[in-house]
Amino acid sequence: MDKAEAQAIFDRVAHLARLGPFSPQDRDHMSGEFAKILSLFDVLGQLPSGAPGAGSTRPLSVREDKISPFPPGALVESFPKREGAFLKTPKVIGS
Amino acid sequence: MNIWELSASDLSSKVREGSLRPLEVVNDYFDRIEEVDPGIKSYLSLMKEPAQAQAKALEAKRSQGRSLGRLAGVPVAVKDNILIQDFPTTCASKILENYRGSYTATAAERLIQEDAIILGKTNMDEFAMGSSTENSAFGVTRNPWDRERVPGGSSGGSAAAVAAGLAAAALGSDTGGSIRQPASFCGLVGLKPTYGWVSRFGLVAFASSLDQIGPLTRTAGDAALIFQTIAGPDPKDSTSSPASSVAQEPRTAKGSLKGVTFGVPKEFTEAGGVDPEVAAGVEKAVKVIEAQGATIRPVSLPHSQYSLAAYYILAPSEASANLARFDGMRYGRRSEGAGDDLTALYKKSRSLGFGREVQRRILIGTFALSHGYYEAYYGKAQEVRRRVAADFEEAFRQVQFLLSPTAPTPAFRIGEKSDDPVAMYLSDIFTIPVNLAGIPAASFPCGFTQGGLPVGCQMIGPSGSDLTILDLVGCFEDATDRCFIRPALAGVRS
Repeated sequence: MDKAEAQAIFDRVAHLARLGPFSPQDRDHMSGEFAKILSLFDVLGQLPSGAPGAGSTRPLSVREDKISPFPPGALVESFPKREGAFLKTPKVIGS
Repeated sequence: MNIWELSASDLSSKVREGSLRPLEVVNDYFDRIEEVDPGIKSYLSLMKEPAQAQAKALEAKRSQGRSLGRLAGVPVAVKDNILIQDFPTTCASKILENYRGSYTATAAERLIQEDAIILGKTNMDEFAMGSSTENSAFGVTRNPWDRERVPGGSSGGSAAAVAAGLAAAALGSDTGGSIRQPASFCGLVGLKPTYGWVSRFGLVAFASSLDQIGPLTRTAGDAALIFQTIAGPDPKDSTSSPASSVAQEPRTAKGSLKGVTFGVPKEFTEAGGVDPEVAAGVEKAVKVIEAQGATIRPVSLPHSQYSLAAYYILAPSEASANLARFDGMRYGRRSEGAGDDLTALYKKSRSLGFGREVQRRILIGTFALSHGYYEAYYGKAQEVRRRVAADFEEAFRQVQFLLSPTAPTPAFRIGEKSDDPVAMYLSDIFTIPVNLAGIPAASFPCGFTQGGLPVGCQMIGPSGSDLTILDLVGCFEDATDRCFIRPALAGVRS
């Protein structure tokens, strides 16, 4: 991966990750590190084909994912601040 | 013997029998923290008043004739990514600088229920991403064995606190080696439990399929005591395993190394970059174990060579999703001056709030999950994860446990690897496969380098063998007649 390609990918990913903007020096440095880390993953190309499918490796059983009855109004009642049928939340925009 | 030199087990026995007062214990520890910790910087925040109040409550409980818990009066430090209600939980990040827990994590709650006393929250690599505790936004923790060196990470503050006698035991979290590697660097026992055996409720998520809370202690017996207290099913964690209830049952029999078969993975012994003194220390430990009647055999973990790459795709991928909530709106400190542009506000809050390593990992994870790269990176890494787990299953058909170095080197110098992320990632090469497979492993001290730095050996077992591992480590301690050796802390104490 050349420097221009690494920087283009870096810029796109930074936008997706909601990070930045970076100073030219930071962008240069971080995209270089980014490319170096990606090269660490090249070894995966040597993995023999015909592997088992992806998914969790956890060998344990977990609790059953079942639906249980929920008392009407319990969700609203569990909310710390209410006003009638409304839930009160802290003001975010313009606070 | 000073109070702070007592093991957690001895301390709780003395408190329960009445020969030590809990308030005396707590005050002794805070005096020592005041004296020693400025030179180590293991704690980010202290809980002196609540700890003293709890100690007084314990004394009242005792005077009323009520029975005390199994950790009565044991002073414990808690890593700062584990919530304690109403107390700071910063994850060593600026973005959570003023955040206080709105509830208490199950693991911490279980310690409190057994009358342990929490002294404070310990330093760490930001959001548990790192292997040196240099990535903390609030300063570097120093290794009590050599203050020019790192204590390891990410649970470096917890490890340094226990090694320096600033807590009798500590909780850490381990996603890729973050309990075991600092235990190795600081001369402690550190357990990464079986995935699902300790509740993650109240642990700030880094990589949810890999994270586990576990103990850092001076002896295997103390690690078992803490582990038995915090393990067990928890309805508040959907990944909590019902099988973990076994860990809570009372135990009487002590293990023996005689007749146990251990495997030594050839990929680990043949790995390049292992410090000769570490290799020699582990080899010596293997010989001690063999002399106790155990059988040692070579085994193979053929896919372990792919583990590091797979881990640094999977963990950052999960981190990029878990840390998306820290945007200055939903969670985290909001940065001013972004005008009316919401995206600009998110970006500014995250860029100023997260440190360099956290940003780096979010970027890697976002990349690995993005369109066009997902199958080649994330899909392939999941495939490696399955194969690594299958390798361990095959190994455990041949032997009962595995032995390896915990880390390729002893504690390295502060700043030595901080400009080279790939070199830093290699610190975890022997610990990462264990997290990928979800199985338990403990690091235990097996010797020292000529320069006086601790060397750690890792014992790995099949799922659910956590307490047996600690029993066997206890047998190694007995065989070597080894009690905890304390660092001299030269130049720290006034």
